[in-house]
Order: sequence, then C-alpha cells, then structure tokens
Amino acid sequence: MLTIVWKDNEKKWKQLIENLPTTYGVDFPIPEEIKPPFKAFVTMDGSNIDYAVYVKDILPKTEKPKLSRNTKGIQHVLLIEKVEEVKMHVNEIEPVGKKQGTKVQKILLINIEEEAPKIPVKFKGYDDFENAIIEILKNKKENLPESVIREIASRSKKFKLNKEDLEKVVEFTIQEYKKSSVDPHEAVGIVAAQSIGEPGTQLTLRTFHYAGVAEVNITKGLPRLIEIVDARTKPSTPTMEIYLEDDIKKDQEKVEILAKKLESTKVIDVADVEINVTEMTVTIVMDKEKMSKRRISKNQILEAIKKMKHQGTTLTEEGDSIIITLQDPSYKKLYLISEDIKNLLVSGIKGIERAIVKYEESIGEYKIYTQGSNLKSVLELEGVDHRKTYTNDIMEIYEVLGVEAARNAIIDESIKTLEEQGLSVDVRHLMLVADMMTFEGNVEAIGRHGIAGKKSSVLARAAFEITSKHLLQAGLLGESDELRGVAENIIVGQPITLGTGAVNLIYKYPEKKR
Amino acid sequence: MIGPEVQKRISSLRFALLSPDEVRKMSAVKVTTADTYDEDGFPLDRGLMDLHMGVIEPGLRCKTCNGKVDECPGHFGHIELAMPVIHVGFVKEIKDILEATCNSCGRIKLKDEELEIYRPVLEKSILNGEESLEALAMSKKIIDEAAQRSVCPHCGAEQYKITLDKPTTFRENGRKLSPKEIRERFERIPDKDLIFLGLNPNTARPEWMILTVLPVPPVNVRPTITLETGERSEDDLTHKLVDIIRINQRLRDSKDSGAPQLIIEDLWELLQYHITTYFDNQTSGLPPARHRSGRPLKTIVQRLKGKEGRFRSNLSGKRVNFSARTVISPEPFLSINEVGIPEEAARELTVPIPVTPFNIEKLREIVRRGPNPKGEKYLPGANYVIKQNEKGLKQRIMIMEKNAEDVANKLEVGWIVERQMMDGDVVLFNRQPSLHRMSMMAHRVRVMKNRTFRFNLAVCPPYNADFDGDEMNLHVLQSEEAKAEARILMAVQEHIRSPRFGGPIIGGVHDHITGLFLLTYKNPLFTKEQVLHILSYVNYDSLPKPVIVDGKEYYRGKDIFSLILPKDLNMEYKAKICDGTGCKECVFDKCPYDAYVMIKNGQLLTGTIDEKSIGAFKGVLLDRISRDYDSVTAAKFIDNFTRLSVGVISYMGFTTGIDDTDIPEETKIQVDEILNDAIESTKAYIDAYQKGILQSLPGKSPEETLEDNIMRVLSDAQKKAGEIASKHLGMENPSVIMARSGARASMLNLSQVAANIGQQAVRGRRINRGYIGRTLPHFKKGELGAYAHGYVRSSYKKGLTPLEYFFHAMGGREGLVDTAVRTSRSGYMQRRLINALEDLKVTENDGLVIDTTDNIIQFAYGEDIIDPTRSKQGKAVDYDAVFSKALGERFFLQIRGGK
Ligand SMILES: [Mg+2]
Ligand SMILES: [Zn+2]
Ligand SMILES: [Zn+2]
Ligand SMILES: [Zn+2]
Repeated sequence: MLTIVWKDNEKKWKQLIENLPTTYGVDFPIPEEIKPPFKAFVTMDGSNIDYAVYVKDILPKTEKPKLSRNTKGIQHVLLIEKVEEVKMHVNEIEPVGKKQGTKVQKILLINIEEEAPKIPVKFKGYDDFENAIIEILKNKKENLPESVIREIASRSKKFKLNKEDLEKVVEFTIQEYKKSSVDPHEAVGIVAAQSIGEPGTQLTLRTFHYAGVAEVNITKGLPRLIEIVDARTKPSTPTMEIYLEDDIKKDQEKVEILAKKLESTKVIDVADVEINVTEMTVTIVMDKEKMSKRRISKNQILEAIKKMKHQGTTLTEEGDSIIITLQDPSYKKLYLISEDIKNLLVSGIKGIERAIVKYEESIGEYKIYTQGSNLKSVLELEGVDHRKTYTNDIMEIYEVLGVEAARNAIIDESIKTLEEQGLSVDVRHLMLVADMMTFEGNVEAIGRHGIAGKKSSVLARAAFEITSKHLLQAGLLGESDELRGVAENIIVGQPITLGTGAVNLIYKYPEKKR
Repeated sequence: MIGPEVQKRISSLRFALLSPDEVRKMSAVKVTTADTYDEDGFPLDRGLMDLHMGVIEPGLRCKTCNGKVDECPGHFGHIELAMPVIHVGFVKEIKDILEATCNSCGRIKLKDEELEIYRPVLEKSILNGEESLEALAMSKKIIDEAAQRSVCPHCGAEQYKITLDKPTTFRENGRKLSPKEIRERFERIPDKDLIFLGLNPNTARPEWMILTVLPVPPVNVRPTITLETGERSEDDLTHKLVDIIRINQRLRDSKDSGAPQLIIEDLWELLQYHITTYFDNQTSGLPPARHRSGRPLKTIVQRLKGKEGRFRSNLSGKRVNFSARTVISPEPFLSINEVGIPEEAARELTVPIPVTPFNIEKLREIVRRGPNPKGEKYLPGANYVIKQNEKGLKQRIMIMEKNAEDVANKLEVGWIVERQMMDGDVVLFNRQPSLHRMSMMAHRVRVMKNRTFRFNLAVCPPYNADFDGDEMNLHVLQSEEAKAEARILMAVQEHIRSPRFGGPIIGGVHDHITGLFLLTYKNPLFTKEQVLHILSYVNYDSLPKPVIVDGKEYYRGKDIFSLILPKDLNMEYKAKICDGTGCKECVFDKCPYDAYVMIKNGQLLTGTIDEKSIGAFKGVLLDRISRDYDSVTAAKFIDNFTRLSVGVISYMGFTTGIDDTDIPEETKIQVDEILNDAIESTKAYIDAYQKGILQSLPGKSPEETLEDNIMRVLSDAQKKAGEIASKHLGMENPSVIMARSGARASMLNLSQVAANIGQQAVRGRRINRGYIGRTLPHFKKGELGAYAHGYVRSSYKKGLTPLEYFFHAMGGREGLVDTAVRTSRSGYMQRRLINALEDLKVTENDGLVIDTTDNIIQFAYGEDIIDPTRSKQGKAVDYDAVFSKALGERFFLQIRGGK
C-alpha cells in the first residue's frame, strides 16, 4: 500500500490530538494514487515514526482547516479521524524509489505492507469463530466452501479453540481440501452412473409400509429409484408430509379436523348411487354412518350435486335419498350422470385419498401424512406450514415450485431411497444426475424419451435404442455426427475425449549433441 | 525403424440418402443372375458372388481392386429394379409427404408467406446442422398443418385423403397409389420446399425413398460359409437377394411380354414384399421371410438392432486378442497389486518388445529359448518376431524350436519380439458383471504353477468375487501408452478407495479380520519363536520390545500389530465389538471389553482390531491410511496386514463347528418357555379378534392389527430367545468371534441355529398363499395361528418339521426370484444412466461440469469440486484428522472427557 510519512512538530501535534477528530491543513502535495481513507505516518525527528494517522478524507484547500501544519502554502486539508501511537523506524518501512532516502524532511512517499486485519484473540460465540476463519482465509488468500467453514467453526466452538489452534486448523483444512479436489477431465458422469447403478442389485423390489405411519404405502428401493430417474408424471405412491402452523400444530383436535378436510370424499364413499330404470331416475341413498365418520353433512352432498353441470336435471329430497330426474331421460344419460355423481368430490382435496395425523415425538408437534398428493391446493390451505410441507411427487414440485426445487427433490428423494436400504452413495453423484435431468430448465427423464433420445450424435442414439429409425432419419436430415461424445468415438474406433484422451502430449526430442 | 506414427482422427461423419445415380456410380457390377456359384464352385459372373464385389476365398483376387481376401475392402454391386418399390424404413415419411404436398403441382399445401416464418430456424438447423431436434418438431407441425388443406393454395387442385395400408400400400380416396405414381409426384416437389418437410435438399430427395435401384452389399458382408461336410451355406442376405433378383426378373419379363396387369401387380407386390423383408424382416403386418429350416431370416435391420446387433455387440464392444479366462483362486502371499497367472497362459500371451541397442542381447536370449523353454523354473520365451523389411512391410516370423537359434542371431534393432509374459508385466484383470470402474484393474503379473488366476483376498470386494467357481478375464497390454496409463491410473493400489462412498473398498475380509482379532483381543502374549513364525511373511524393521512375565520374554499381540502401522499415526475410535449394550457409559481406553482402539504414534495401545479397523467398506484405520498416505504405503499396509493375519490364524488355528452353538439344557428350557409364551399370546390375540374385542390400532383394520400383533410378538420372542442363547455363547466361542468381529455371519444367524428360526415371510407378510382359506391341507380353513402361516419354531440345529421346511423354502424362493428380477431391472437402469451421463467431464481450471457439446451441467462439480473418491465418506475434509493434527493429544482428551 502506498502512503506518506511527514514530519511535524510536537506542539502542533499535541494540539491536534486534543481536538480529534479535526481538519488539518498540510503544505505538501499528496500524490493522486493515495485515495482517502488512508493511514499515514508522522515523524517528529525524521527517523522515528511516532504516530499513525487515520485520514478519513481529503478536502479541497478552499475549506478552512481548524489546524494546520504551516500557516502558508496549504495544499490539502485532511480530515483526521484518529491518531495512534506507534513505534517504528523509518528504515523499517520501505520508501518508494531509492533516491528519496530514508530521512524525512517534509514528506516521504512510502510503501508499506498492507496490514493484516486484526484477528481477535478470544472467541465466544459461533459467529466469532466463523468470522475469524473468514479473516484467516482472507489473509492467506485462500478459499473454502461455506459448508466447510461452517463445520470447522462449529467444531472449533465445541473445542474452545484459541487463535493459534484455529490458525492451525484452518491451515490443515486448506491442505486437506486441496488434496481432495477432482482431477481435470475426470469422467464424473460415468462415475456417477456407476455409483448409482452398482448398488442397484442390492436394492429391494418390494414396496413396504411406511415406517412411521400405517396405511400410507410408499414405493421403495429399486422401483422407486427407477421411477425417479424416469421422471414419471405421477409417482406410483404419491404422498405428502404436511407440517402445520404454530397455532394448531400442538392441538390434536384441530389437526384432526384439518386432516378430515384434506381427505377427498366422493359421493360413492358416503352414499349408494342407483339407477332406477322404471322411473328413469338416479337415486342417491345416503349412508348416515359413513357420513358421520367422514364428517360429511347432507347439505354438502346436495351442494356438490347442484354444482354439477348437467342440464335439465331436477333434484328432489326424499328422506335419506336424493332423486335426480331428467327432462328427457335416456339410459345413456342416466348412466353418465350416475357415473359422474359417483366420482363427484363432496369434500376434501382432489388427489388426496387419505390423511393421517401423527404426533411427531422428535419435534413435539402433530403432522399430517397423506396418501395421494396435491401440493398446490395443500399449500394454499390455512394452517399449513408451506415452508416445510413436502411431497414426494417430483413433477408436482416442478410445477408448483420450479425447476430448482425439482432438482433438489430429485436429490433428496433418491438419496432417501438409497439410504433407507443402508447403501451409502455420495450426494455428488445424485446431484449430477439431478442436474443432468434439469439443466435445460425442465425435468427430463434419463432414457429413450429424455436425455438419451436428445443426444446430438446419430451413432450414440443408434447404439442406445431403436437403431434403424435414427439412422434413416439421419439420412433424410443429412445429419452429421461430429464425433465428440464417448459412444460415437468408440464406435468409430478412436480415443474418447475424457480423461487422458482429453489432452495431447507431445514429446519434444532433446536436441542432438554434435 | 519404429517412429512416431501420425494419429489421424475422423472429425465427423455425414449421413445422406443414396440417389439411384449414386448407387449405380458406386456399383462395381450390375447383378442380374439370381445364383451364386457354378458347378465347380466358382463365383458366377453377374451373380450374387461376382468377384467384382470382393473375395471371400483365399487364392482368388478381387476383380475390382485386385486385392486378396484381407486386402480387398469389398465393393457394392446393384440391381436395377423392374418397377419402383417403397423403402419400408421411410413409409411414415412417404405418407407425411403425400399428405402435405399437392397431388398435382407438388408444392407444400401452405402459402409461401405461411412457410417463410419457419425458414430461418429450419435453415439454421437442417442446412447448418445445428440442433436437428427442433427442426424435426417444426417440420412435423408444418406437415400436420398442410395435411389439413383440401385445396392446394398454389394451383387450386383438389386434394384427397391419403391412407396407408400397412405396411407399404398407399391409397388416395381408396384408390391404390402405385410406388411409381408416388415417385412421380415426389419428383415434382421443388428443392426449396424440402426443408419444410424435414429433408435436407443437399443430401436427400423425396423420390429416393422409393427405390429404383437396389445396392447389393459386398460379398464379405455376407460371406458364404463352408460347413465341415463341404456343403456351402449362404448368408441370409444372399438368400433374400436371390429372391429379389428372381422376382425382379420375372416382373421384367412379364412387363416386356405385355402380361396382364393383374399378373404384373401380383409380381410387383411380391417384389415389394421381398425388398421390404430384405430391409426389415420384423415389419409389422408382414409374415417374416423364413429359411428352409423355418428359422426367420436375419436381414439388415435385425443385423443392426438390439443387444446382439452390430452396434452394441460389434461396434461398442469388440472381441479382443491377448486375453485369457480361467477360474480364480485365492493366494494370500501375493500383493494386492499382483495377479498370479498359469504358466500355460503366460506362454500363450505375449508382449511386443521393440529391439533396441540396449536390450538386443537380452532379447536374443529370450528368442533363443523358443516358444517352449525347458526347465523347472519359468523363463519367458518368445512366440513371434516381427521383422521390418526395407519397404517398411512387416513380416511375422513364428518362432519354433528349430528356428529359434537362427532367428535370435538374425535379430536386428528395429524388429519387434513378441515375448512371453513374465513377472512384472502389466495386465488388466476383470470380473463380470463390470458394474463399476473397480471391476477392471491393472495388476502386475506373477507367473505361477497350476491353472488358475490367483490374487490377494483383499481385492475380492471390488470385483465382488468369491472362489466357488468364479472365472475372470485377463488382458495383456500391448502399447507403451496403455501400459503407462494402466500402471498410473488403473493399478489396484489406486482403487483402494471407492468413488461411490469415499471409503475403502479394498480391505480385510473374513479370516483377515478373525486373524487380527485373535492377535489383538485382550493382548495375548507370544513367545519369540511364535512371533518369528507369525511375522515370517511380513515386512518389518525389527521386533518390538518384549515384556517379561515370570522371567520369560514375551511379545504382546498389539505390539506385533503395531509393527505394520505408520509411525506418525494417531487415532481413537470404538471397535466393532463395542456394541454399546454392555456398558452404561463408555470408559474409553479403560474399556473392560478391549473395544476402544487407541493408536498413539503408530502404537496400538488399547482396543481390538476387527472389521471396524481394517474391513473393506467399514475399516476406519484403513480409511485413514488410504487417505492420508500415498497409495504405495496404503497398499503395503494391506499387504502386510493380510499376511500378518494369515500368519496369526494359521499359527494359532481357528475352527468352527456345529458345537459352537451348543447351549445348556436349562437354557433350552428357558427358550422353550419364551416361545411357548409367545404362542400363547398370539392365541390370545386371535381369540380377541374372533370375539371382536381386539382393539384396532389407529388407522388399521382389525385384521391388520391382528397380523401386526402376531408378527410383533413372534419377532420379540425370537429376539429374546436369541439373547438368552447368546448369553451362553461367549467371546471364546469361534462362531461368536466371527460374528462379533464382523468377519462373517451375525449373532442373529447364530441364534437361529441355536434357538429359533422365526417367522417366514412372503412379500413382507406372514405366509397366506396356497389353498383356499389355508396355506396347506394340514390346517383348518381360516386358521389364524402362528404355525398355520409360516412360523418356524425349531432351530436350524434341531431341524425343521416338514411343514416348517416347506414354509422356509417359500421364503427362500422369494429371495431367489427377487434377485433374478432385480439384476435385469437394475442392469437396464444402469445402462440408461451411463448413456445419459457418459459424456460429462470436469473442466481443467474451474471445476465446471460440461458435456461434449460444451453445455454446462454444473458450475462446480458436486458444489465443492471435491472428488468423492478422495472425500472422507463424502465430506470434503476429514475434520477429526484435522483437529487431531492441530491439537495433538488435547483433541483426544477432549473427546474422551467432554461428551
Ligand atoms: Mg461366486
Ligand atoms: Zn476389391
Ligand atoms: Zn398444387
Ligand atoms: Zn465400551
């Protein structure tokens, strides 16, 4: 850092210190390279530096300074914030340009090592550690991922490290981190595919009951993994984990009511729908018991039926039955209406077949587990904690929360599937699969209908599936295969462009001695 | 002289349709005779085996290029078709074009201004070859739109509905459109319209999709096979071509002689059939053409398609020379980096060695030995010498006993000697299925007696190998580059850690673990004589300090183990045998069970070495050494501990038998009581259920509740019985040692042998299948009891009753079926994953992940640019190691002190 040292007299200086902060006029030029705020030095005898001066700003000389070094020839007015006593010799600081010498007459332009930011000696909270680590890294001009910094900070807190220890820890961490980085041109895709595929043979094929809650079936193991990479529009067993807002999450009764509200109830669940052929009517016979179990009132059913868009129908109530008559009935119409009524949603959310309340010991609150999923509608419900609520339907997450959320869902779901079976697979592999599936901005399947079918190479596509179709199509389009990928280069019999194939080595013959 | 050979690279391949003119131009002969050979077995002129199309018989020369069998690449011929015929592969496109274009003027049935909007994108994509998928979707849209128009916007002609009678008959308003008519229509389509139809005018014309000339592939594509009997057998393609020429001839004759239209039509359709099946013999709607024997012919599409097709079976993977396959067996005295190969294989497999002034004498000696050197000790001979003459032509000389001396003397610098394998050669070793990169690793050769491949047992896990008859493959590397890459990148020692989970995959198994357990558990004493014996296989500097007991010198097991540890190693952890149930609170290094491992400066002070230390997958000691030290040190450590443990176990002896699971009579009675109680309590549940008073579990039906309860009661009982039985099986029991140290089996297995096997399950439930209402006729209908649904009360040792045996087999069978189904399903998933991800790589300076067309997939690989292989179980940094290095002993004091 470039700065200046100037000579001053004791008396003036005492005065200045007493009046801090203050403006101070100086009668020497300050080079343009030095920009405020800066730290300058002051010497009294020309060889020992006595003070460090914190200059906050340089004001134009038109400004009248409170104090000045000299009464005449003021060139700059400095806004001095703070003055510190220091003990240094002029020789210790390197002057710019040899000719200027080291004795200070009026001003000396010097170059000093930028002072390292101060690292406090004692740390208390986690933040102190984290800040200290960041400072240490800054000094070393090194960088570590945030996750690593967080981990060493929290461990350092646990071990109550002092400054020296912390510096050592950071140093070793940097060494470790550098030692562990990936090699350039590493075929990370293939490694990821192998790492997920290899343990595939150890996965189960069965779907089990979900550990926590009875009744909610979940596809697990290999079928689930295949389902995830296939990017199926609906998982075979969609399910939700609904977290609740603070005001109801501890109240079992309220949660139960909410759960009942979620469960979709169709007319057929609470009533019998019959076609009366002689009268040419549709009769809905309500089942009181089923209705009370599901907390459905007669009115709700009536309301639902009234909302139906069938023209020319009239409703009549008759005890526990509702009779629908048509203006010009036909068997076909009756049948259609009865089918529609059977599947008519009386209450609840479409797609959610069952909702079960469970007290979660570990977090001390109630949660709702569902069979079936409808993220959009559930998130809109009052009382649902939309920040934590989760579904295992990846495409639904994509539609409601976007592609980044879908990418994370792919990672979470696949790692969960593998971990349940006691298989450890590095997240990085699953991240890569997830990123490959989503990097174009939507969720694409691994396989013929997704990524594999979209490869730019004709040969690679032909080698994967539906060989002849791709070759014929390539002829029509006059496609050309640029032979950049792995599969196509293997087919034509030349080295691939990954790993050692990505670089060329040229041996330079040593010059012959004569 | 062997100089640097210039490597050429194909930069791109371009696909196109063949025009009739092009077919004729590239044809070496017009084939007209529907026959192959004459009576003398000589290829007929203008026949399907015409010598212009190449040669397949040694001795004959190609009439086109004058080359011999290996020199002639083969040349196409052609058949002039009497009438045009539709190419089956393009039926869909032909229909699209018929629908989208005008039947009279040939323009696309869209106005010019409607078309022009699409031009920029299509031109960019089709003419400049950028991203053809987009174009495909766009032209589909244009075709769909144009097909809707019933009047041509250009000439105003009325348009009719086109239908397709699968596979190749087109109709317009019900009237058949002959290929000839279609071709005429297509000829009218102007070039400028082609891109809108998804055709590249530079490489394809629509009328070329209707064939007038058929290329005949070269003979070496469809060679004649001569059977041992001398009988000749033609290739399926040749058969098909014979049919085509025959019908083509008849069609031409009928046409020329003015035969009735009906006959011509019939023949024309027959020709269409033959050409269709010539391309694709699995066209839907057509009976496949068959061989005389009834086998369907394998025609062009069948040759290319599928797992056995050209692409997957011959282009993506190939058969290779310099390879060997045999049964594998274990050899604990080999390093993990070595492989033992039989002498017979070593004599057959060779390595090319260029002769230089520096090695010429050595190679002369090798050549002089000939292909079958005599003597007890294996010495490499040589099988071939490759001589280069003045013109640079290579000539292989086979070395035999007779000429060995002669060839050796003539050997010159610049020749190549194909030397037999010898110790130290680099080979690739592989076991299928090759599911990950550790399935193929580079080993160094050790030539050995006997006929199996042998390797260190620590390398079994990555190959997933055992020795119950497994076979493995071996490939001898031929080029210097390949050898260098294999040595540096593929060597076994470079694959001790798995990229899947960031831990060791090569490590101790079975007896390695037992051996080191015996050596270190409770620190046994060994006499000097014993120690020398045990250590005789191990590399070590000097004996540890002996301890004096009763005036005699002894060596402690832990000190012996410490010999093979790096001297600057410090770590502490709990061993596998610490199951945490024995003690209320861990007392760390004071553990009474010797389950707390403490290593200070490379000295094992407390604790037992078991699976948790050196096991493949789970060994943390091995994990630390393989991560913190170089691969040579790690490999040496594995070599040493495998040898040490074999030394220990073979000296101390170790055996296991059925009597390991003997339990005292009174314990048996206790077990019986527990099981009886369990049965009683299931009966109580059933009773309650039948009376309808069983309290349902929330969200479950009474039936499910009953099932759950029965399953729970029985498995609890099994656990309890196992615990009681285990009480009598102590750490001196060999079976228990194996189970607890993680060498093999588990305590559950032992309790199943000693006490109770437990409930058998199919699809995760009690067994419920068989007859109506019951599993077997031995039970009453609707019976719910434990025994009626697959409960096995006996122990393995006691033996199963016939009914139990049956249920047990059902459970077992499910497992087998499951495995079989799983392998195929996961295999396909892996193939798809590989296909989707194979092109990805990390960039050189910034750790991006890109594919081969430079799309960025990730901005930082794995979000932190860390190689999972080098990670510590996925973590970028081994925090424990860092803190222990930084804090020294204070670190361990804090772990032990402050929980
Ligand atoms: Mg086997
Ligand atoms: Zn030729
Ligand atoms: Zn027209
Ligand atoms: Zn313990």
